[in-house]
Formats: sequence, structure tokens, C-alpha cells
Amino acid sequence: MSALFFFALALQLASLVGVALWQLRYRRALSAFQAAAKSPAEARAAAEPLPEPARQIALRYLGSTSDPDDALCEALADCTAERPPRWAIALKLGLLLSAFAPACLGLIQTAAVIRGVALNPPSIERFSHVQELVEASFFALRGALHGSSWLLATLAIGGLLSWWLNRGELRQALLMRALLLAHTQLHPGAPAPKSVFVALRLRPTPSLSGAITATALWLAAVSAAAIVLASTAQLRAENFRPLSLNVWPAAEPRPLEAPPELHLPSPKGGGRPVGELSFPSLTITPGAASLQQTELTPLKDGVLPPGWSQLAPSLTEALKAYPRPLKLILLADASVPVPTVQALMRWLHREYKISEFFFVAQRRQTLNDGASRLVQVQFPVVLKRAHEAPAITITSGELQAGQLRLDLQAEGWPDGLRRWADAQAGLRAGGVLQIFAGRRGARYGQLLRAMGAADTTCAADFDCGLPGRGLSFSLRRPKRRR
Amino acid sequence: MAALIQTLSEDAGVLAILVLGLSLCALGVIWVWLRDGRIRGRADEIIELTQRGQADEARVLAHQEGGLLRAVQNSLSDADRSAEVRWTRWDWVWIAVFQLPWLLLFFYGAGTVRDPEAEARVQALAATMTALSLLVPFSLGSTLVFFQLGRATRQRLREVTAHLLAAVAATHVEAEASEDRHSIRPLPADSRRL
Repeated sequence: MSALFFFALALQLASLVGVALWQLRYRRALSAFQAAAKSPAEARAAAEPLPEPARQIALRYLGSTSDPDDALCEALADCTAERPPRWAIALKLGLLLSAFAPACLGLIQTAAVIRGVALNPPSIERFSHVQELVEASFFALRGALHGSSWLLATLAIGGLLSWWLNRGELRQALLMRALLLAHTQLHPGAPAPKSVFVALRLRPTPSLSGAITATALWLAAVSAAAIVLASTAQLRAENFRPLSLNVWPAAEPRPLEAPPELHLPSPKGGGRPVGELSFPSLTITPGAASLQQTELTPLKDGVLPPGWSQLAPSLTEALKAYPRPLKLILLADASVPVPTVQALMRWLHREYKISEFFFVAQRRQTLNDGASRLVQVQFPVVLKRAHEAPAITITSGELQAGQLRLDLQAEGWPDGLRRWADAQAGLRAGGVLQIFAGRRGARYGQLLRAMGAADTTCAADFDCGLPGRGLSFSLRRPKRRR
Repeated sequence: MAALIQTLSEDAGVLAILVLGLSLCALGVIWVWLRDGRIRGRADEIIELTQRGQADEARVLAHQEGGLLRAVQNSLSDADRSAEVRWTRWDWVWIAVFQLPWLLLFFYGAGTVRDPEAEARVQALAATMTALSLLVPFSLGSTLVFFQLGRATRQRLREVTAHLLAAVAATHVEAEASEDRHSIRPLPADSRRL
């Protein structure tokens, strides 16, 4: 882009220098012709270096055998044939297009970039990538537009100088003056009434109308530009805002219905918008566990009664209608102990081969107008072991992540887990985090808070409104020590 | 080129304005080019007639042509008038018409924003930007070509006027002399401009 700018600038400067040099040569040649017009022979010799068609006009005048006034009259009329060469229009067009070239190229490149932008399916990685692309592209476009502005300003100044030095009427007038002065030296005292009559009418009109019209047009153009800027101010303000990623469902932010007594966990980050609605849901309140409308077992403060699995009803008929492989949406109260959830998951896996679950939580989304609303998010969880994956262990009072030990009663423990997760190479998008939860397990709300902290893309322990990085979780019981 | 067309076809409104703009500009340039060619031909005939000493026939021909050449005739009728040939109303109309499409496209595109979240609007913005990058240079280039061709036409008319003036200069000078005026009018102060 900068090469194009400098090429266009060099072209403009070169053409301006060319015009100035040509004009200087023309004026010198005409001066030499005037000075040498003491005799026809000297004048003829001085006319030879004149550029065409001035040379032909001067030689025709000097070689004419008719009345000197008639010859001068014809020569003055011939002066109006002086006009710029044919390639001048191509040069002017080239200069104009080269001034616009950076802006046009920038527009096309930016259009190609934003046309290729795709945010679906939405993800924070894709969003970051798109944001970088769009910002860089518009930054380059701004530079290109600045370049074209400078080139147009240079072109305007160059055009003005060129018009001042080299317009057709001026060249004609210079030639006419040279011929008239040469005539007075060649024929001193001889009257030339016809030539004076013609010269008076061919002279440029001394009038201010052109300048007044140009000023009025300029003022109109400036006013129009001001109106355009004012009328598009809103658009520019809108584009000044950072790019947005609206990943939450616009119509129904909470598509899953939970019983009124069920309090879903509220992590401050992580998770994805609920997208799987075609699977059955397992609801666990402190008083009961149910699959769809079928109660599996009553619970006492979230704890399974002894021998519940023998008493649980068969779900074979109820699960027939759902697509295979079977997955389950899990809506559990934040106060339910994690071992209860694990026991139900293992039973469903054993009896019905269900090994994939979506843990549902809710987060608070901040809207553009500053208001907020609750949205449901899901975390994919499996029961199988994930080899080589980073792991955490959560108990009722403590969370252990590698060498890091976090007290779950202390403030800010999720932020410590977030920083640990950020440092794990295996916890990029699509990674798996193993969670070990034993008999003295934590509450379901704490588990979801830990999952949210590991999955969050927010920069601190607050809900920034962005979806999670896309982790999957493997929920297992810790290995028994021998 | 295929990518450009693909981008432009994302928005029918942009494509319509672009096609309209390119067509109008091409039409304007063709119009002024044809007019220049026609007047150039007439001008050559008139100059040839004056050089053969048939000034009256040349004046009649200039008068018959009408339009721009009538300005030549007028300048000959009024001996105090300059040989300058002015731009006509149609010239200004065309120059304004050249600017309309890209201004229209600019305001059409003002409804779009760059936020990729609004995918349809982003596609419209991409189409508008591509169309602007084509239409603005084409419109302004057409204006320049129109202006230069119009200027060339006027130069040619000025040449015609100059030759007709040279042909009738003797008559005017004799008429002034018979009116007991100076045979050669003194040069006014601003004649130094020559």
C-alpha cells in the first residue's frame, strides 16, 4: 500500500516538474523569438526551436508574402489551434486514478476480509481471531484513506499550478504576444487594424465570474461534506464501539424448565448456551430425583436412600423415544451433594449406557442497555477416564489442582483456579479437565463453580458475559489408596 | 474478479446502483464524445470555408448548426464580445449526474456497520465498499474525461471564431472607419494581458 502511495506521489511530482520545465522552455523560446525578430532571417532562425504548432505558425507568418496585417491576422487566428497533446488527457486520468488507488485497494481488501468473517458457530477463539482481523483491516483502510487524501490534496495543488502555468489560453496568449511584438519590430510604425481587431476579441475575458462561481461551488461542497458528516455521525459512533459477540439465544435465554424449588448453580463464567434440547432431562432437587416425569427415587436433603437402585422404576419405555446415542441434560439443585449426582450418573450408565451429560447452570448476561438477564449454560460431562488430561480434586472443603490447594470457604478461590487453568496447555479449546470427587464430596453448586472457573474466558472472577473456552469434563471418583 | 462479483451480488441494491452509475457515466462520456466529434467536423468545414475566402458561407453554416456554434455566430454579431464560448446548461447537468450514483451509494451504505455479529449487514457493507471502490474512480474519471472533451470542443469553437473574426476583420475595420472613428482603435489598458 505504501509503495502504491509513493508511486502515485512520484508520478504527480514528476508530471508537475515536467509541466514547469516545458513551460520554462516554451517561454524562453518565445523570448528568444521576440528578441531575434529584427530581421526575417534572424526571426526564422529563432522560430525553429519553438515547439509545435508555435513553430509552424511563426514560420508561416514569416514566410507569408501577403499584406503584413493580413499575415499577422491569420497567424493570430492560427494561435488558437494551440492545444495540449492527446496524451495529456490520459496522463490526467492516470494521475486521478493513482490518487484514488490506495483508497480503492484498501476498500476492496477490507471488503474481502469482512466478507470472509464468520462467527458461526460462535466461539471466543473465533471471535478473538475475527476481532484481530477486522481491527487490523480497518486500521489499514484508515491508512489507505489518509494516503488518498494526501494524494488528492497534492493533485489539487498540482492541478492548480499546472492550470496557472500551462492552460491553453495562456499558451495561446503568450504566442500571440510574441507574434505581435515580433511584428512591431519587423514592421515598425506600420498600422495593423485587422490584427488589433482580432487580438482584442481573442484575449481572455477579464471577469471575476469564474472565481466567484468556483468559490460558491467550494462553499457548497464544504457545506455538503459537513452535512454528510453530521448525518452519518450516528453510524460512526456505532462503529466506534468494539465488536460484539452475541452468542446467547435472543428469543429464549432459558429454554429448560426447572421446578420452582430447584436452585440452579450460578458460576461466574464458562459454559455454552444450551443447545441440546432433544435429550431427556434428569432433575435432582433436595427432595427427589426424576427423569422427565418419572420419579426415580425420593431424596432426603439430597442424599440417596439405601437400596434406592433396586426400587427405581424401569426407564426403558420412557427413553425409547430419544435419539441414540443417549445423552442426558442434568438439572440439579446447587445444594445437592456431588456423590448423589455421581451415583445417579453411574446407575444410568450401567443400566442404560448413558455416558454423556450436560450439566446445566445459569449465568447473568449484561445487555447493551446496561440491564441484565439470566441465561442457561451447559457443561459437557463424561464418565470415562481422560488420560493425560489435567486434573483437579474437589472435596467438601478443599480443591486441589496440581500443587495448588484452594480453600473452598475462602473468598476468591475460583480466581485461583482460573489462573491455574490458564497456565495449563491441555486446557485450551476442546481440552478435557478431569474432576475427582469422592464420598466426602462438595456440593453440586461448588462443583459447577469450579467447572465455570476452569472454563471461563473472563479476565477475573466476575461474569463478563462471554461463553466459556469450550472445555469438556470427566467426572470420576478418586483412586482408592492402598 | 469472480470474488468481486460475488461480493457485489450479496446486495441487490448495491449492484443496481453500481450498474446504474456505470451506465450513466458511460452514457455521458459517449454523449460528449459524439458531440465533440460532430462539432469538430463542422468546425473543420467552417475553417476550410474561411480559409478559402468564403466567410459568408461559413457564417451561415455556423448559424445553421445551432447550439454551441450559435455562440460563434453571436460573438461575430456583437463586435465587442469576446470569442469565449461558455459551458451550456447540459454540461453542468451531466457533471452533476456523474456524481449522483456514488453519493447515492454512500448514503445507501451508511445504513451498514462493520460489526460481524450482524452478518447480513456485514455482507451489505462489504458489497458497498467494493462498489464504492469501483464507482468513485469511474465517476470522477468520467467527469474528468467529460470536462476535457468539453474543453477541447470549446477550444475548437474558439478556433472557428478566430478564423471567422480574421475573415470579417476587414469589413469591421472599414465600417468603423466609415463611421469617422479611428481606423485603429487604441489598445485598452488591459490588452497587456495578451
